[in-house]
Amino acid sequence: MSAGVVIAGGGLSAQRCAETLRQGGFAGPITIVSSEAHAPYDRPPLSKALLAGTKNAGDVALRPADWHADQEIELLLGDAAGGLDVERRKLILESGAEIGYEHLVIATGSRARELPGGSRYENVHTLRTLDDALRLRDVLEPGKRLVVLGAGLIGQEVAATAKGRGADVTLIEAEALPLARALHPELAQWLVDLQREEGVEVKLGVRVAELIGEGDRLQALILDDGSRVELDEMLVAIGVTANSEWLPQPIEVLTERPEIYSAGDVAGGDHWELAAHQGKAAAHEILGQEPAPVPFTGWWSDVHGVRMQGLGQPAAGDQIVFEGSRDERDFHALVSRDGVPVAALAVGQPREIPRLRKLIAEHSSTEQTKEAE
Amino acid sequence: MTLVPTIDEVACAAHGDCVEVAPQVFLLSGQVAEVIGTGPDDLILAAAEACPSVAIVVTDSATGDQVYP
Repeated sequence: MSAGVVIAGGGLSAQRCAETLRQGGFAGPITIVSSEAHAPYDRPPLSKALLAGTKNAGDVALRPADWHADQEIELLLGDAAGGLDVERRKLILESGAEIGYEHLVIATGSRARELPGGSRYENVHTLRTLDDALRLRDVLEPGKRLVVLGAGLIGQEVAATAKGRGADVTLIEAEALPLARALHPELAQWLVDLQREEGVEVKLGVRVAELIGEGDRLQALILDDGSRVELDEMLVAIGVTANSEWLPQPIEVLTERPEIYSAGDVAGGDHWELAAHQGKAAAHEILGQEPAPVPFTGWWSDVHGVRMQGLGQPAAGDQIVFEGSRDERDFHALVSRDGVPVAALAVGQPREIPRLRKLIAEHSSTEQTKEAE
Repeated sequence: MTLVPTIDEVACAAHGDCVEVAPQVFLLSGQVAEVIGTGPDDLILAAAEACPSVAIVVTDSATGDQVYP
């Protein structure tokens, strides 16, 4: 088969890479290889609008249905990257097919971590792919008792969306507070309070001690504080594992080769804006262009109709200043370390983001310059 | 009031939410969103508010004042 650029993986960074190559005038073959049956789609709506039912499978595609054909980008769907022969420059698919490449972009993303012993039950779900989200949506009916294990962003969003659909939701988190890498403890506490006000039962600092199931259905959890939680469905949202087992060498070693690049989750681009940037940056390198500098990226989330927009990385012990009303869900908070702004969150106040972004980015670039010196 | 949107090209991460809200005003074909048309004021504001990166700057063409963000 033809050489050119082969992108292993079919998510956001793969899409950004392919479209940036075409925009940059790359006329050779481009092939996107994906284990999924769908053309590249946007994942953020999966735990929000798609699960809520206000969007359907066709609405989350990153490009119109005929776009890839028009751009002469080949989509090889439903066949995952399974191996790599770096000497012969061949990507080996799980089906056994081999695809030669001149440039290879490794962007195989990640998969949801599973709860040990949980996957044998048909009512224990994870949420990573479009098909996962459609399956979960099918079983989320009003009155169903849903347990969400893990209170990260996916867990928070699914808990909120499911509650909005009338489910009876219990959100369980092993840590004393959720989202430690993204939210200052006072903000994490605010989010827990918000979930509780909306009727989500939140249990913090507890782990699963035992699974009580019958046949292929999980019926209850016993937690390590001795409590028992009955359930109809469970979502396991305890993080992700990079899809890198198929690589013959560590990714850092492979990408030392001039013809191999990486982007997205496998390259540490674990949120939307960074994954998008890395896909573009890989394309710029292939085109022989100077990659754009890494932007100061942020994250966002929608829970119970409230938009949260976050910047930077807080740590325990940082100082925090609030402006606005936490009770009204209309505030922003600036987090500082030794007097230097390092992180921020805007809740219902998107207008504050440009100013906060500038404030934190200025200081973080100063820090980076210092480190470089 | 007639509102005019412009894209902050540094902040734009090409999420595409503006195109979803106001396809007659915004287009995403390149690295960042582009303004390709005009629309009712409330639609332009809704598109600006939908942007996760807050990359749409809205100006009142009558007064020159920035009304968003």
